[in-house]
Amino acid sequence: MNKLKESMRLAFASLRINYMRTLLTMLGIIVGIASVISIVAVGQGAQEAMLGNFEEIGASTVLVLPDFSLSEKGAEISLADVQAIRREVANIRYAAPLSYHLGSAKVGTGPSRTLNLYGIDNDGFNMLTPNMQYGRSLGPLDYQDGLTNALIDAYTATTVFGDPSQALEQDINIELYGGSSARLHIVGVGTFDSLEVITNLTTGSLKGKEDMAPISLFIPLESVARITGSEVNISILAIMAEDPALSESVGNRAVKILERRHNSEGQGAYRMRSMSGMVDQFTSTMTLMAAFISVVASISLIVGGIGVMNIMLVNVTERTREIGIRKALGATPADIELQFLSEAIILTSLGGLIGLGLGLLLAKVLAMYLKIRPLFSPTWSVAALLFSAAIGLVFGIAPAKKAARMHPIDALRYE
Amino acid sequence: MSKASGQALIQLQGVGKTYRTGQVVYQALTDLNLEVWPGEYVAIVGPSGSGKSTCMNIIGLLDSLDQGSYKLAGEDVSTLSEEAKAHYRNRFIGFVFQSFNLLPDLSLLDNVALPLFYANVGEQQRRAKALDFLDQVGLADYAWHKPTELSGGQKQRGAIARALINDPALLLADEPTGNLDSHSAQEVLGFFDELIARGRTIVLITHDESAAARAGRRLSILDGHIQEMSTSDQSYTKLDKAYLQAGRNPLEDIKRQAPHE
Repeated sequence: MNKLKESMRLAFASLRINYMRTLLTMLGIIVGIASVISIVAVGQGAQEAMLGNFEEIGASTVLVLPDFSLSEKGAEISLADVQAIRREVANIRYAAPLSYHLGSAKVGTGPSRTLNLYGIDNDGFNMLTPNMQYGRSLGPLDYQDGLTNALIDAYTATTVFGDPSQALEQDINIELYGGSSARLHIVGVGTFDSLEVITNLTTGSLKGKEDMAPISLFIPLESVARITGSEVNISILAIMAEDPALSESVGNRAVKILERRHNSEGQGAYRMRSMSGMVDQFTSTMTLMAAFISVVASISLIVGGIGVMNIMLVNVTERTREIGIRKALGATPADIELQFLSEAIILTSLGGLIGLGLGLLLAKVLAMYLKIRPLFSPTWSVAALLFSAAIGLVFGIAPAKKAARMHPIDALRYE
Repeated sequence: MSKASGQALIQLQGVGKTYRTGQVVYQALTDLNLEVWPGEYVAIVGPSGSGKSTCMNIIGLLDSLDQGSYKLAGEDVSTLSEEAKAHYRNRFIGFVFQSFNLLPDLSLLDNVALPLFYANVGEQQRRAKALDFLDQVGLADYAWHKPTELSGGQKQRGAIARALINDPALLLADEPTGNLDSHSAQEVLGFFDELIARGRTIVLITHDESAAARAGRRLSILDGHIQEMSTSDQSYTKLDKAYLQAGRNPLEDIKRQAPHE
């Protein structure tokens, strides 16, 4: 044990002699480990965020989406459809239609910004209770009379007004794509995590349109009809069953009613997504992505390991005379092998440690950009370090054995 | 310890060594016979390529013989494993090389302590002993210097300290004054005289006549054959007394500490 400790110390000293060479040799290991650690941390963070949102919505909820590319064949959801579903489908607790519109918004003389406008009704508001921070939520009058009162997302309020509390009682001029315009009055500021999960899904059903815009506003569904001057176009219908076990059957029943009402049976005009199905799909996607990144990272690590072996072989050649001197002074082949193997293992372990630090940093930066919390797993970190050490062992053994097998006198004569 | 009282420290019998480079075969040593007794100061002289270094490398277990046998303190070491040879080199043989062979990336102290490292001595004890030996050769102030910061004479004194730190029975010196100025060379040879007075056995390879003249016994090698040049019986008597006075028997030292294979 003493000799092992001393060999490790000598190995550190030896690696310190040529910093640049040591660093360059470690590069492959650093990149490989950093990739794996960052993708795992970000992936698990994204998964946690997504699952957390799904948990907020609950296992009882299914989402029904019309395929707008089939709108000519009747793929749409109207308020009347929602009423019919509420009447005809048993075991429904809430059926919340959501109308999504893209446009632009302007506060006073400020610059025009892209707008996400969401129309919700009372059921939606009850089902997906927001966390109101300032002002009030939308009330019965807001829903019945179609007043242009609106709620604003707290993050959006911060970006527009500097402080979310400043958004209260402010007016925002909006213009929807399609030409409709209105002035909205902010009556409440809050966070709408559950709504955003659902609204994020509308970008999937609105393919071809622009990405998420920076201003999110929520108004009564009836206000949407008033602004657009036409019937409300429902982007997504969220249905909460009374029992999680009934959610899929409730969703399927709602789809059948829609197909019947719009003469589109068997055409796939409506899709039903359960939360558990989406969770499974998301988890599967994340696993696939992590596996892909791990394969790429493994290639990087193997290439890095080959680099380590190459440099160690060069090292052994350069230090042939030193090996001869050590052998003359009493180093056994095992001593020499331990010395060079220690160097290889320390080299790759150091690379793993640096890669771990870099990976954690990268994960934090990526997570900040994606607005999620990175999840750092001690298991993965330890595994990464152990794997790095293993790379050193595997790729360092050949050069170490070469050094150990050198004939003392041949090594001493080497120039 | 005289010839009459026991066993030779080094016994080479019928030793032959051949080098092959491609098609070229070179007979470095042919039927070489040599005995060195405890406490002797033996100088081996000869022209370049005569086989002096090959002889020394075989004695020092750095190279293997192709024919014959080699006994070190009565133990046949001709066919030892590499591990066993390393053990012998560490405990019983000290090397002093012409080019000093100090490791440039270690301090002088760590260089001197290196044989103790391979003898599994702990770090503190190792450094303390190395410092003591450096003090004995007048280099305690240079303990933390790198070899590149030392003169040739200082390096060789450091190398001598390293060679002696494990208290070996045998000191092998291959042209120890070859890279030194005359003053440093005399200093080194003076050290050797002191070691002989304390009962150490020294085998010296040298071109330096003045160095060879200080030895009690001179051997010459030519074309791989060795022959006696001169002996001094008085030298033997003086050595016997000095060694006995020190209360040590190098043969017993080796036998007691030899690895069992």
